[in-house]
Amino acid sequence: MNESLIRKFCESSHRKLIVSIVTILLGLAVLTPLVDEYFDNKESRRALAEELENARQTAEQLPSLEKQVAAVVAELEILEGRSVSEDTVSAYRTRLVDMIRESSCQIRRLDLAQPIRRPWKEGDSPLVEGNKSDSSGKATPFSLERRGIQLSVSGRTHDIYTLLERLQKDTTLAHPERLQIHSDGQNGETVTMELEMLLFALSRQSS
Amino acid sequence: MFGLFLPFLLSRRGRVGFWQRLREFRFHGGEVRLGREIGPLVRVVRMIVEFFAAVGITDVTPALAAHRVIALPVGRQHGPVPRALRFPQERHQALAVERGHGRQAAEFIERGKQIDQADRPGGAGLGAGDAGRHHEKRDARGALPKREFVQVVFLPEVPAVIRPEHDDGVVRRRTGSERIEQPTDQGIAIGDVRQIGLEEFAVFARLHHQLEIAAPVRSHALTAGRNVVEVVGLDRWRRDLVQGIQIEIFPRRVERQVRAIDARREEEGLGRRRGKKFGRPFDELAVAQARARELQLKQLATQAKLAQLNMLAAQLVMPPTADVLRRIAHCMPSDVWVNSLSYVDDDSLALKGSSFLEAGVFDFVRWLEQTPGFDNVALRGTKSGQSNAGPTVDFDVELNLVDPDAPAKEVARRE
Repeated sequence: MNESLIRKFCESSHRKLIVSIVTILLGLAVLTPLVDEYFDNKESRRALAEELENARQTAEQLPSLEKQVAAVVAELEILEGRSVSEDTVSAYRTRLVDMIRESSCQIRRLDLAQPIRRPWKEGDSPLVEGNKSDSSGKATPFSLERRGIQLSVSGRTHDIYTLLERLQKDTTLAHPERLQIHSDGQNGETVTMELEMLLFALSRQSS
Repeated sequence: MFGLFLPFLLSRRGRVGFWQRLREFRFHGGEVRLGREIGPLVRVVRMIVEFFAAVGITDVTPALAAHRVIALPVGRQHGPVPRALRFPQERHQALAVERGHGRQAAEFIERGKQIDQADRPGGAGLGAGDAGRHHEKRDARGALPKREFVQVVFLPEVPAVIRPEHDDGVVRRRTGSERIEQPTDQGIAIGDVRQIGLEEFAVFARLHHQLEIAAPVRSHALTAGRNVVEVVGLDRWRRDLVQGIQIEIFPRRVERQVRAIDARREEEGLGRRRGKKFGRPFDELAVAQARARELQLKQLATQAKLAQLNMLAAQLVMPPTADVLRRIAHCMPSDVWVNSLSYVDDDSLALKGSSFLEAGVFDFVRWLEQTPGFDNVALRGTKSGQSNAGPTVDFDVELNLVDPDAPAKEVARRE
């Protein structure tokens, strides 16, 4: 049977056409994957070359990026130095006592309350308590730390003025909640100032 | 005459020799006699005289000395003669002997193996012979195999561990035995606490999807402190680039909950040959790009906090209380004094004071109204009071604080 098929094929007038078609089909079957791989590798090479160029540009811009980051970090450190957190409350208390003494006033009472923390949102107000906050802003990864301080000092009127000026010049993130100045005696030479303030800090929320 | 014979007499006296022990008193005492010429010995006749009984010599004083006897050696169960053939095996029954000139007598012991304590560095192993004698002979009869004693660690060295709260939970990925041409597809080295660096093969890092954190750490992807903020993936199969590896980072304090998603293996081929071709320049680029990525993350985190802090600080303004007090003081007539000042809210004040005259109170209110920075000055009430100087008029005033630099308003006043 095989011999007859071969004989028929050899005696056929279309044998050239058959051979050509079979050859072309075999060529396509072999070459098509290779061509696909070639174009795939070519595309990969182009993408890699582009990424390489991006990487070189990034490497060239690294010094300027470091300077930018250093500037932002320095600015943040300055602002963080104005806040009163758990770590800096002791230093603030010391600084406040020094201000009172340098103003020639006498400390009657100085109480620092425990901090109250609440989530901090976009466009939030620090003077609003946590459960009363109606801010519909986006949540941030930070929490607001609010700490109350009660201060009672006595001294001459001029010394109280001096102390108030010092507190005003102090850049601490604080807000006076209540201030009362009243005469301390019958002659009115000394006055007593009772000041309640809120101290603030912003910290990253713990997981 | 006696003096002439004295040296001769002394020369014939018995002496105690050097290194000889002094014997009994008068045992070998000298014999004093006159020296004369000795006649020739003619004959020695052997003759035995046997006495029938003990005969004492009457003119010789008996010496006061103990009779010499043979001491009976003290032995144990078997008497003075042990049954052992060799005297080292007699153990404690062996008598003390003098080993030599000027040395101390000692007891014989049999030589054995000295086994050091196990917690000493010299713990040598035993050979295949006898187990030795001293302390361990009866316990170890047979031949012992040679082996080292286990070191007893007296002060144990505590192995270095990482406490759970300090563990960032990054695990090192390992595989089994592989050929050099087929290293593990990923490698994450535990390095600095804030960055996971490349291990061994630092190659090109792809910036765009280099770090993908599925679950934020501490509720935010840009974490600080000891959390992982940088993960640089590495695909060793294509050593000319770093394929992005998606990493899930769970909150810290949970150990070993980091896993790589889609840790696919690329076929080695053209890319690998490129990696061999390029080599080290890509390492430097990868390091620079990882550093740039870290800086970008740090900048983003810093700017985020800076923006919120600026927003907070903008709302916290300390009122110029000292300036307010000075301006109030400038408005006070000479017969008016303020007893109390308090903030009603952020922008309003309440004043309580006294005056000797009612006109002084009205003058005080009028001056307050005309002072920049005060608005809506209201006299809430007056009442009669008493002071040491006489009757007074007590008053309550409230006012609002405004910007003192604002333009003054024209107030229509009815005179």
